[in-house]
Amino acid sequence: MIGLLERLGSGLDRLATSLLGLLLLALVLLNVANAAGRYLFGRALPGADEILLYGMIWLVFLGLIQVTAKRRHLCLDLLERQLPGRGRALQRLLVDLLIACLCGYLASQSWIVVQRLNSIGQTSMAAGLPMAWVHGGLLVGLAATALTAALQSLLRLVSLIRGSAA
Amino acid sequence: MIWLLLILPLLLFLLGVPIFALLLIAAGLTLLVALPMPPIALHQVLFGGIDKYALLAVPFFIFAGELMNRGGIAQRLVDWVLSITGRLPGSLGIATVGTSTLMGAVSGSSPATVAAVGRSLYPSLLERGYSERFSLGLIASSGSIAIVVPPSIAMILYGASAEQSIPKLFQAGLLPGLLIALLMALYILLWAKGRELKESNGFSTAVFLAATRRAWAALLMPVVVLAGIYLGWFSPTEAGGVACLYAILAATLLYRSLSWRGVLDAAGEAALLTAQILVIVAAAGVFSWILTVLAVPQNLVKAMVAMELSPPLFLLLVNLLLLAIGCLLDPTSAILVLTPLLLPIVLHLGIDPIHFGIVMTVNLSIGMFTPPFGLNLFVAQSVLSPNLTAIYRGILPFLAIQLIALGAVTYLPALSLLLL
Repeated sequence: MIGLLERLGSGLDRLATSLLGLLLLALVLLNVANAAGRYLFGRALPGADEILLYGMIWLVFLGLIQVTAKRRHLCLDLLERQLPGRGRALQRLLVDLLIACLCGYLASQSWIVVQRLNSIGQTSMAAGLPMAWVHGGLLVGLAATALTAALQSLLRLVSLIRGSAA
Repeated sequence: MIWLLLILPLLLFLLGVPIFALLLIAAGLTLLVALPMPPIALHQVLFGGIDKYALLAVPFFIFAGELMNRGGIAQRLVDWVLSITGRLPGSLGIATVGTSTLMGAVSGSSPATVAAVGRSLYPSLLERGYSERFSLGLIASSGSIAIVVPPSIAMILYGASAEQSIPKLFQAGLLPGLLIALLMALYILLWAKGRELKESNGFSTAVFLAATRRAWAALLMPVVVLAGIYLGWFSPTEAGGVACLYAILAATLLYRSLSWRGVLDAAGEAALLTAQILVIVAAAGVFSWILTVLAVPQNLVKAMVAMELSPPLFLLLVNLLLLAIGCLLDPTSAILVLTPLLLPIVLHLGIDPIHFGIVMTVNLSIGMFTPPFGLNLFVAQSVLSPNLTAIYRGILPFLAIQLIALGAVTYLPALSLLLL
């Protein structure tokens, strides 16, 4: 069962990283096309700057899920490296629980904002994008990060109870 | 309040909690406990923290750096610098500094420079008689130049945070970056004299021309990026996109060293690095907003005014503070947390904010290789040698040199402002 979960996780990891890569490539192409349009043809792509900026915000909060899943956050890892196996697993469990609670709470606030934006139907000024979708990047990223961290906490707790340090 | 905004984040930091999380926990708890505001403000300010056009340059320059490493562009730069250093005493050491500077002029990432230059040159340095300690110290410390030489991600973040012109910061960083490189090269030259080092066969026009032919597209890349910005062809953000496209075309079509799958993998990795950094930018935005609402920067300015500090003394104290913080915190987080606090004092004392941005950048670049936690030390450890003690001892002479350069950059503002 755990083997199947690990294979599934690894496949999802590759897929998610590739999708993030595709999003970044699309942003690069849009950025260059916009600059070329402005300087070569005297006309920028309408709304391109907004799409680029909001695309980056989605990239960051979707990337947050992967960074959390891979435990690649910037932090001081001195304590983690000094602790013995079981102590390290406990420290990681606490960090994962903190991230899960924090991101879960922030996602609940994002949900309120997205609902309000959706009800008033606000759109962005240049590209006319629905702002509920734009702000939805935070909601999706934070909620999925909370779930990821909670799942990691659960797996770590199980392995701690079983007595094998992760 | 000091518990929530200082002690708690410090405690969480020491416990290994990610920096984005500790900033948001401290800011969130302060908002809930001490401020009469609805908690949905957290979402709004978090969003506003990265809703800045200038920050778009960050993912693009990170991606360009990844493409350079994976596409063999970095290796061609190494070979080219080696072809011109010839039989000079310490030529390979000088080539290490030169290549790190060139790498910085394209990618702006210090750890990426240590990894790329280290992988290429560390075995040759050992083979030619440079000690393990010297070589490790040299590679870990020269990688820090990448942060100072434009384009620099640290300067983009400072510019966005302090609302200063990023092209001006790039221009201001050029001479300080070259000064650090020059001082390091001079030290290596003096160090190598009288030592039994196997250097290369001396300068050969044929070898130089062959290396230039192999590397011309790589050498043209910083020229296109920087000239494009300064000649007004494109903004720093657009320059980042142009650098990516240039590196993709060079690596896939010209050098044929990277497949399209490789480009996608590099983009995926760059996206993760971007998320790592920009989520801290967003969180630092919330933290500094809370500080502003509580009038912390204003009170700090008042306290500084009461102490009647002169600008030189203030800069000395700030340097000591930043050096200490740089030992613990990466430049990204340090710039984002400290800029809103220090800038009002800087402006009050009449210090040029562009000059201060360069002082801050040079200072925190030193933090990249100062023990115990400089990131370059761990990159050198994981990529080159597990001997952390040798790395710690090896960086000491280079630390002294960079501190001399920092003194010059701090007290000779013309070094930063001359080209503006």
